[in-house]
Order: sequence, then C-alpha cells, then structure tokens
Amino acid sequence: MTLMQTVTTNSNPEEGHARSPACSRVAAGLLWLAAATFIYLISLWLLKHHSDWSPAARIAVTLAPLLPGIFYLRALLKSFWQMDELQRRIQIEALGFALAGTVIVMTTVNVFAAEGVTLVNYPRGLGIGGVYLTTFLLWSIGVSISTFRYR
Amino acid sequence: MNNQLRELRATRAWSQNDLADKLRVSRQTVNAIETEKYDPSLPLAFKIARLFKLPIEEIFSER
Repeated sequence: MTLMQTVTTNSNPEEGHARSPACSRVAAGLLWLAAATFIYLISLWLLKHHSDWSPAARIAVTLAPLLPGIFYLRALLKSFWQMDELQRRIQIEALGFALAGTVIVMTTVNVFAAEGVTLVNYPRGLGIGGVYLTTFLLWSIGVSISTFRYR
Repeated sequence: MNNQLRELRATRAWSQNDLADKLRVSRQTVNAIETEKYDPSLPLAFKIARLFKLPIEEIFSER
C-alpha cells in the first residue's frame, strides 16, 4: 500500500466532531485569573496589617495567589492546545511581538529614568505593573496585526 | 504555494465553515489557505488530501 493509498483510506475525515466549547475554557481562565488577583490583593493587605505574624505564616500568605495562578496557567495552556495551527501561529507571533516590544519599552523607560528623565506614571522606571500592562497591550496589538495578516 | 482548495470546495458546494468543520480547523484557517496567505502544515495538507480523495500534489503546487 502506497503512502497516498494509506492517506486516502485511513479514517474518515468527514466525520463530524464535538468541539468542546472554547468559551467555557476562556471563562474558566478568566475566573482563575480573577481569583488569583483577588487573593493577591488580600495577601498584600494581610502582609501589611499583620507584620507580627511568623515568617512561615507570611510565606504561606505570600504564596497563596500561586495556587489559582497555576490553575490559570493550566486553563491558558489548555486553550492554547485546543487552537488550530493558524491560531497557534497567530498567538506565537503576538507573544514574540509582545516579548520583544516589552524589552524595548522597558529598556527605554529605564534608561530615561537613569538619566533623570522621568515619565509621569513611572518616575522610577517601569514597575512590575507597567511591565504587565505593556506586555498585555503589545500582545493585543500583535494579535490584531497577525489576524489582519492572515485574514 | 498555490492550491486548488477553493475550486475543490466549490465543486462540493461546501461553505468555508463546512470545510473547516470537516478539517477540525477554524474558518479563518480555511480562508487563509484558500487566499494563499498561509501554507498548511504537512498533517493538515494530508488531511485535506484525504478529504478530497486526491494526491497532495494535485491540490498543492509550488508557485
């Protein structure tokens, strides 16, 4: 049997398939992200107002947002694995764009800060919040560019 | 890479959504392949060949 015969006789590609709802995966991801953010804020509050707690308790409180964070990562990976090859390519291009863009923006802002040229919102360089925001914005732009490119 | 996907789909009166469902990809992927903005992976090309019961080289060709 030749390769092409194998290709044309094996399995039936015309069979329908039940796609698991992508919306529920996105919703699950957002839910875990919201939970992680909520627990992170509670952790910050607890650490600020209970400085008398033992180091072990403080470490436990500090690490508490990691658990929903891991579930968020799991939901994110599942939705990535569920994508088809073009959607994955779009995401990879967008993530590459966001990564490189964030490094450039971060370096530029920090160099300016070192030289005493400060931005209104970032007087001491790009903080962790600024990095998250920049990455998210650049990822959004990257997804838009790649989606438009393959439209 | 050139391809005959749009013509093949038209002969079967399938919409892009129909073809996307049969190939288990998004409609955007089918459209990108048809407009030759995206070259499919080898497994997807084989899947397309299997679906239309044609050799790959009859569907895809070099520019």
